[in-house]
Amino acid sequence: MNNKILLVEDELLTAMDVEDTLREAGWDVDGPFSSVRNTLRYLENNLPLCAVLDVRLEDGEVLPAADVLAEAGVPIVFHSGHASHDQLSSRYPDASFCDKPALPQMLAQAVEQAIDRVRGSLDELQAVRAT
Amino acid sequence: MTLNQPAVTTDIEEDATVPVIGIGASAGGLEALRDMFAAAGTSPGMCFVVVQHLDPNHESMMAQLIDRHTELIVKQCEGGEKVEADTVYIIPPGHGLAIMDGHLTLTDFEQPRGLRRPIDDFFISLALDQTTNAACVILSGTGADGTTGLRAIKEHGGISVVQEPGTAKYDGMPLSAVGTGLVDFVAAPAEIVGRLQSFFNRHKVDKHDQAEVVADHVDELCRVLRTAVGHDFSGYKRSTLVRRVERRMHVLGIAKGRDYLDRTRTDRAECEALFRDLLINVTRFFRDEAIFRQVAEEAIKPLVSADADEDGIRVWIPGCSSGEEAYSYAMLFAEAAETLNRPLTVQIIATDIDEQMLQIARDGSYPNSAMADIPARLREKYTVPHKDHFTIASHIRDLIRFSNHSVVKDPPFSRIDLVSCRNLLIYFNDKLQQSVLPLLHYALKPGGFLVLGPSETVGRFDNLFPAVNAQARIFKRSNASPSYPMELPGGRGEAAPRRADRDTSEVTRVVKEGGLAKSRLMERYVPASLVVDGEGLIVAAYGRLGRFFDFPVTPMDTASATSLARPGLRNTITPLLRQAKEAKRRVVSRDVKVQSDFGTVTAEVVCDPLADGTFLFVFQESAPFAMFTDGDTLAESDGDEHLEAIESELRLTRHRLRSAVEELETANEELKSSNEEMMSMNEELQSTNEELSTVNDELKTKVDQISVVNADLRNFLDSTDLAVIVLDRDLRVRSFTNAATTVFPLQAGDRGRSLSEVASRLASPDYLDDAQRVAETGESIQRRVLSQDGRRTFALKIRPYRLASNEIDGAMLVLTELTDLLSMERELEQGRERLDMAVRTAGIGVWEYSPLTGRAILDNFELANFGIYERDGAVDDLINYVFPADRRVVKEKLHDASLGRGDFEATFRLQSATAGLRWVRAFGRLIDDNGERRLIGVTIDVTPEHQLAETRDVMLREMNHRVKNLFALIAGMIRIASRRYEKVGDMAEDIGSRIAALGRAHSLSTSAQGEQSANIKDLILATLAPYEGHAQIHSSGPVLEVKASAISSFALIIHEWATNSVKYGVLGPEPGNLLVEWSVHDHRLSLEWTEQRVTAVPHIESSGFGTILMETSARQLAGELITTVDDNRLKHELSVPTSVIELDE
Repeated sequence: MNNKILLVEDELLTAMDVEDTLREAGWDVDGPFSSVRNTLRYLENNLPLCAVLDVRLEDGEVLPAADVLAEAGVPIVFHSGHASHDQLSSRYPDASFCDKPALPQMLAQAVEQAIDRVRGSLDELQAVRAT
Repeated sequence: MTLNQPAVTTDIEEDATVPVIGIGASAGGLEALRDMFAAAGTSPGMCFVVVQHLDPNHESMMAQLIDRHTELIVKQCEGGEKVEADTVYIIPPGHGLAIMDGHLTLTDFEQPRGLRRPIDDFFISLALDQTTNAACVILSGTGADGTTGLRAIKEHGGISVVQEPGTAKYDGMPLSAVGTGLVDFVAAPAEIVGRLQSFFNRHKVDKHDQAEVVADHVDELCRVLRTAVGHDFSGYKRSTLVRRVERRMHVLGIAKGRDYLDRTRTDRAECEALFRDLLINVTRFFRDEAIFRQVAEEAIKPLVSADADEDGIRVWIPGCSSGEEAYSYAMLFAEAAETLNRPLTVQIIATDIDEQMLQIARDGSYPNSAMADIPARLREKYTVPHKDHFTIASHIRDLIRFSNHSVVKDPPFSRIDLVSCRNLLIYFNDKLQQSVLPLLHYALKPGGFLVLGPSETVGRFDNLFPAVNAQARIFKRSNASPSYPMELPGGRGEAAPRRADRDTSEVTRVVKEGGLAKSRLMERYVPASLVVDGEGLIVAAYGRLGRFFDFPVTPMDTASATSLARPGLRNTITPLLRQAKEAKRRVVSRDVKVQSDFGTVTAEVVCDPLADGTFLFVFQESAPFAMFTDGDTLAESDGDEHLEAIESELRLTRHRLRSAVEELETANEELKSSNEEMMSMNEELQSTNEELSTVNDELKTKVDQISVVNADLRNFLDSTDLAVIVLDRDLRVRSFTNAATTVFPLQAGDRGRSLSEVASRLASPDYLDDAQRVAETGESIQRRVLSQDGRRTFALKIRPYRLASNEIDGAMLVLTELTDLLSMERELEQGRERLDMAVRTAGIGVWEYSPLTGRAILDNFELANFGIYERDGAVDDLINYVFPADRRVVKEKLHDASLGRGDFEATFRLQSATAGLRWVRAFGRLIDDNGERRLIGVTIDVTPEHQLAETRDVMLREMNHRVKNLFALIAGMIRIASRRYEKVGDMAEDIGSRIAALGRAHSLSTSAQGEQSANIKDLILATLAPYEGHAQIHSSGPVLEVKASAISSFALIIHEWATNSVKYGVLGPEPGNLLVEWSVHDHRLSLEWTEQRVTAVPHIESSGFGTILMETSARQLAGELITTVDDNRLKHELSVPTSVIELDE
C-alpha cells in the first residue's frame, strides 16, 4: 500500500526538518520539491497518500499543484507562513492548515488526521459497496 | 325681507305682547351686559335674548356670571322656548339662534369660524318675527357683526340702541352700528333698559289713539321734508310713512302728531333723522343669490355677447343705497366678460338720494362679515382683504359711478341696457309706481332689461315690459311707445294746483260748517250776496240774486259776475272790484240803478275784501221797485238800436278775435310741441350733464392722484443716483436728474436746449447719433461708454420715450456708472479662478442633490474623474456608479442627511468603465435655499491614499511571512542540530553564532530599498566581522546585490567557512591570510575563499552538522561547493547560478 507523503517546501532546512519529522512518524517522504514546476512533473507519474505544501515557492504559488491533488482526492496540509487562510480554504474546503513555525508533532498530527479522514470515507465507501 | 312686507303693514299686535330685545355682544361684552342687567330692576316687562360671540368648544359660564348681578331670570337657551317677560336668554356655545312665532330655536352655523355672524342672523329673524315689537342692542365688541341686523330691525319698524362707544371696552361694533346713521339711542349700558322701557311704554299707549292723528299730518310732514331735504315722500306708501313717523315720535317722546310736525318745522336735524329713517332698506352682496344667478344667465350674458360693436353696456341701479348691489352686478359683468372672452365695457350708474350711503358705496370698503355673502370664487378674484375690513378690487370699483340722483325728482338717464330697480318700488304708492315705470321705459334702450325685486311687479304696464322670467322678475323693454309724463311726478309744477285744491276745499268747508239754520238764513233772509275771486269769477252766492243777475238756464263755462249782471249793475261791479282791490278795504257804490225785465231797482252795492283774497259783494235795495213806463220803453228802444249796432260791431270784433285766437292757438300748439321737444332734449342734456358731473368728479380725483404721482416723480428725479436725461424728438433736453449733472453739466435753465449744445464729459459724442436713431426707430440701444479721462465707465442705455398712445416722442438716456462694478467683477473673476484652481488641484468635485426631486447635479470634475456621464441625473441612476457593496451605506447616509439628521459623510468606491475603481470621500450639508432644501457637497478622490495603505498591507504580510519563515528555519536548524550534538552547551554556542550571523546578514537586507537585497561585499564583511583582526582579510569582486531569498544561504555558508577557519585556519591559531574573491562567468557567480597558511593544511574531520548545513544551503542556491587543498592553501569555491543575484545594470 502507498505510504508516501509529498513534501513541497522551498526552504531546504525547514524541508529537512519536516522530512525528518514525517519519517520519524513512519511515513515515506517524496521530495522535498522547491518549485511548482518540479511538483507538477512529479505528479504526472505519482499520486501520494497525502501532501504537505508550502504556499509560496521559487516560481510562484503552489496552487496549480494543489488543484491537481484536490482533483485526485489527495488530502492536503498547507504548511505556510501565509497570514490568511480565507482564500485557500474557500478554494480547498477539505484542506488542513498548519501555520509556520509549527511544532513537528502538530504537523505530523495534521497529516495523520487528514489521512484518517480520507480513509474513513473510503471505508465507508467500501462498507457501502460490501452491502 | 321684502317678501314679508305685507306682514309689516298688518295691524299692530295686542297689548299683551312682550317686547323682545336682541342683544349682540362680543369682546368686552360681559362687563356691559352686567351693568345693563344690574340696572334693569325686577320687572322691566321685556324679554332679553343675548347673542354673545362664544368659543364653540368651551362650555359657557355666561348665564351664571350674569345671574349674580341681576334680579331677572337668566337661562341658557336650549331651543324651543317661548319667550317670556323679565327673562334673559343666553345663546349656547357652538350654535346660532333664531326666533319664530315667539319661540327661540337653535341653528347650526353654515359659515366657517371667523365668517359667522350670529348677531346679524338673530337680529334679522327677530325683525321678521317681531317687527315693531323688536329692539336690538349692540354692545362692546370688535368687527361689525350686528350692523346688518340693525338695518333689518329698523326696516321692520323696530328700535335700535347702541352702547356709547366711549364706555365700551372695544368700540368696533358700536362704532360700526352708529356709522349706519340709523341708531335711535346711544347710551351707557346702565341706561339702556330704561330707554327701552320708556319707548315701549309710549308705544303701547299710542298704538290706538295716535295712529289716525299722525296720518292727518303726513301730507304736511311731506311738505316740510320737501323744503328741508329736497325730497318729496308724498308718493311713498302711506302705511310705511305713518309707521316710521310714529317710531320717530316714540323715540323723541312726542305724543301728538301736531307737536312732531312743529318740531320738524324748526329742527332741521330731526328732518334729517326722519329722512334717513324713511330710506332704511336692507341691502347686501348678492341678495337673493338664486335670482342673481338667473339674471346673470338671462340678462347679463346676452348683453355681453350682444355687445358686438363694443360701444359699452350701460347699467342703471337706482336706489343703490350703500352700493353692495352695484358691486354685485359689476362682478357678474366681469365674470361674464371673462367667460365669454369679451372685453369688459360695462358702465354702471348707481344712484341714490342718501349722500351718506353713497359715501359708503364710493369707498367700497365693507366689514369682513359681509365677505360671506360673496360667492367664494368671486371673493378671491374681486376683493382685497385688509385687517378688519375688505375693499373691492379697483378694476371693479372703476366700472361704477355713484351719484346723487332721485328717480322721482330728477330726469332719468337714457340709452340704458339694464335697469335693476330692486326693492325700491315697494316703498312707493300705486300712483308713484305708475309714474316711475314709464320713466324706466324711457331710460331703457329697446330690448333692454329691467330687474325688479321679488315682490314688485310692472302692474298694468305689462305691455311696456313683457316678462322674460316672471319668477325672477326679469323684464324686457318692448317697443310700445307710452305717453311719457312730460311733467315729472313730484316736480315743481305740481305745487300750484295742489295749493289751489286745498283752498277750494277750505272754502267749501266754510260753507258746509253753517248748519241748517244758517243755510236757511242764507237762502231766505240774507241780502243778495256774492263771493268772487280776484278776477270776478263767482265763487259762492247767497240770497235772492234774481233781481241783480241774469242766470242762464243752461250751465255756462264762465261764472263771471260782470257778464251775468243785469244792465246797470254790469258797469258798476268791475270798477268797484278794482277799487276794493286797490284800497284793500270796504267800498260802497250808492244809487245804482239796475234794470230788470220789468223795471228798475235802485240799490246800494258793497264790496268787502276777505282775508283769503276773495271779495264779498252785498246788494241792498235802497228804493222801491219802479215799473217801466211806456216812455221808458221807447227810450229804451232807442237805446236798444244803438246797443244793437254796438253789439253787431262786438260780434264782428268777436269773430275777428276768435280767428285771431285760433291762429294764436295753432301757433301755441306748435310752440307747445317745440317746447315738448325742447323738454325731452333738455332731459337728455340733464342726464348727460349728470353723467358729466360724475365723470368730472372722478377726473378731479384722478387729477389729485396724478399731482401726487407727479410730486413723487419730481422727488424721485431729484434724489435718484441714476443719471437720466429725457430728450424730446428734436433731441432737446426735456428733463434730467441731479445725478446726470455729473456727466452733463446741465443747469436748470438748460431745459429746452439741444443736447448737442451741452458739453459732455464722455469720451465720444456717439450718444447723439444713437439718441437720434432711437427717437426715429424706437429700438433701444445699450452700450458702454468711457469718460474723457478714461477712468470711469458707464453703461449707457437709450430708450424710446413713449407717450400714453405708444407714440414715440423722443428718447431717454440712462447712464449707470460701472467703474466700481467692473473692478468688483474683475476681482470676483480672479477670486473665482483661484477657487476653481484650488478645487481642481485638490481634486475636489462639487455636487448638489435635491431630496425633493431626487435629482443630483454634478460638476465637470466629477464627470471627468469618476467616468460618470449624466451631468444632471436621478440619484437612483447615479447610485449605480457606486461599488455594489457600498451602495446601501451611501443611500442610508444620503437619506439621513436629507432629513436633516446631520451632515453627509461617507467613504466609498465608484466604479465606471472609463475611470475604473476609485476610492472617494464625500461630504455634504443640507442648505435651506428659499424654502427649498438642497444637499450641497464635495467629493475628494482618495484612491492614492488607499493604494498606499494597500501596499503597506502587502509589505506587512510579506514581512510577516518572511519572519515566520526565518523562525521555521531556525526551528528546523535547532531540530536538525539536536540530532547531531551530544552536549547542549556546544549546540547552543554553535547555533547561537549561526543565528547571530543570520541576524547580521538580514540586518543588511532590511535597510535596502524596494525589492530587498544585500550587497555581496557587505554580506561577506558582516559575516566575518567577529573575526576581524585575526588575519589579513582581502575581499574583492564586482558590486553585486544578493536577492533576499538567498541571503540566509550565503550567510550560513560563509559562516561555516569562517567557523572552520577559526577552529583550524588563519582566522584562528594558524598564521596566514584570507582572500575572498567573487566573479561572474557564464551566468554563474563564483565565490572563492582562499586561506594561505604557513603550515600545511591538515586533514580536517568536518563536523556532521556544519556539513549538512552547508550542503543544504548550497542546494538551496542550486549551487555547487568544492573544497580543494594544495599544500599550504585551502580553497573553498561556491558556484551558483546568477539567478540568485541582482545584476547591477
